[in-house]
Amino acid sequence: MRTSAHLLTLLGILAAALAGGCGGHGHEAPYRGALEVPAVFPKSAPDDVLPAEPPPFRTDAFPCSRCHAGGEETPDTAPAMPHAQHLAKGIECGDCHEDVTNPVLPDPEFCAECHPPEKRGGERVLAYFAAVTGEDGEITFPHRWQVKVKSPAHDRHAAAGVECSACHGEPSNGPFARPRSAVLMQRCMTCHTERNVKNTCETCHEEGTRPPHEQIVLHHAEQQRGCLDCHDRANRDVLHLANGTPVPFTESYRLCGQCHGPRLRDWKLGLHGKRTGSWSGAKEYLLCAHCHNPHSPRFEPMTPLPPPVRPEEIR
Amino acid sequence: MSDDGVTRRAVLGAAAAGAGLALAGCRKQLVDEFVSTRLAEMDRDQVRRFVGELETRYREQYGRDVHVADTPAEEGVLFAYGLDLDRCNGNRKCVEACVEENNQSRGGTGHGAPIQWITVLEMDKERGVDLDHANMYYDAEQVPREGHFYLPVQCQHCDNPPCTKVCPVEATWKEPDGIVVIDYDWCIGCRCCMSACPYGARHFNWTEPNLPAEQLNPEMHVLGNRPRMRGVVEKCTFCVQRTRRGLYPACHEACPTGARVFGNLLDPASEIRQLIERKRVFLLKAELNTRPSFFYFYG
Repeated sequence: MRTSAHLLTLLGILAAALAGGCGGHGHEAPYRGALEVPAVFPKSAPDDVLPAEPPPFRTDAFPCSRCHAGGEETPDTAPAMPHAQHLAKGIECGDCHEDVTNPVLPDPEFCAECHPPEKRGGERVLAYFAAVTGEDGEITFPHRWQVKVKSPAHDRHAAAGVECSACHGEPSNGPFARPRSAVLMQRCMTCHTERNVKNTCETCHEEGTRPPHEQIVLHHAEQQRGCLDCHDRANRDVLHLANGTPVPFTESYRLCGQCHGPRLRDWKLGLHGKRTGSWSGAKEYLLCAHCHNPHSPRFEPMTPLPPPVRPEEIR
Repeated sequence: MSDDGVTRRAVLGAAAAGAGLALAGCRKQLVDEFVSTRLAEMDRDQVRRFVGELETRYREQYGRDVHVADTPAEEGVLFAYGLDLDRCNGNRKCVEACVEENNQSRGGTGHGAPIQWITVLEMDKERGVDLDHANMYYDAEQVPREGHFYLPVQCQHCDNPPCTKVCPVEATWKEPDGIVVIDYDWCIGCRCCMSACPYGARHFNWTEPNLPAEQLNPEMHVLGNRPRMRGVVEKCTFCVQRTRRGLYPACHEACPTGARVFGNLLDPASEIRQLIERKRVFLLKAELNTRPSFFYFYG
């Protein structure tokens, strides 16, 4: 029924076309235009590949230099423990810390002997203990990432004749003797290098407690490559090319392109890598490291979405 | 909505049967210009009014604000697509994005199977591109599976499309920017185009499509993702509602491995042109002389 109606329509249209076209002459051009090859004009330049504002990298939130070189020590947030005041009153380290080679916090009761809770200062002592100890009574660190250093280190440092002040600085009114807050690894590294002591990661750090490095598995020509082939020794907040030129993380593709030249060329042309936005206008480009983990660049397998419904399953 | 199609058809049938008006060659004199005119023959003014009518209808039907575009093809644009088989890992994210963008039927009891415009084929690396041994129903914990590669197939937007030639009512045609489209209101559901298409890219609404209002994509195009009705054929339109606004198609945006390349074939600097000029590309079933606008390559 429908089909026959349409066939009649077709006949009608055909006849109309033969009769010399339609009457809609006063209108704009028909919606369906003629397929002709128009003039060629470029809409995007292949050199224009750099994102104006590249997406952020993890290093912005926690700069590598915080551990590796330079940088500022993070201020402590715990209440102050006035070491200097105590020393000025003639109280020796050993008076409070039982074993100076392995000092631990005295019990709160011990401090309360001089600073009973009801007296002036007593409240502050309690507040201090509340701030620096966790629920289990262990001292907690105001670190963002708690880097655990092997425990017998203290004995060994004392035995090797390292002055307390080498790490702790002069007794201050800070919350801890200094290294308990944010010791910069650079200080350890310098001293170890000067004294010709082993300074591999394992020397100081427990296995598996090296944030943010613990998740790094180098699976990227690891037989020929180490950290400092890409990361800059002097400034860990940048990378460097083979010739030593520093490269910010936002231009890491220059580093990758040293080995992966054809890929870099393809990426600049838009043949490799993901682009989003507009095919004819502003695009967002992703850098190599946005998709590929630079330490292990091969794509991880993915879980596929479910398959289509088989005809026999249709209900 | 489906009423609209039926009305247009009924009125048209009556008018044509009456013969006089159509044969006189002046469609403007027909009783109702909307219901008697194919979308392809409407001028812009008529299309705009038709689109307004559609918007009103969808707003009522879905209780949501919708926008139906009628953006025509841009001069100097000829769309083409590239797909890197080295990088596609068969995760089907493109399929999902396509369904959500293009208002395909989600299927379900009484609504038949969900309609998907992209079919991802799993093939053996040993056999190479061998469509006789492809598996579209692969169901794996993780992809890519050892020894396999994946080849997504959707409408190839052929330069010499067999589907448009066989349509008895000219309800499907190739637009000037290369997109093969369907006038859903004109489609009679004969499925000739489906049998003509060598890529299985056309899909038929056997039942009333299931499109929950909250899943409706309100950004529509009259030739693209506006809701379809029972008894019509639908297919990939390169996301005409997106690409004619300058955006990449939804599958391109969704691909997590960046395997998809899209652009204007007439722009020498475009990604797709650079692809064709620099890589070895191949076409699916090139021997059929359909001249697809869809280029596969190994990155």
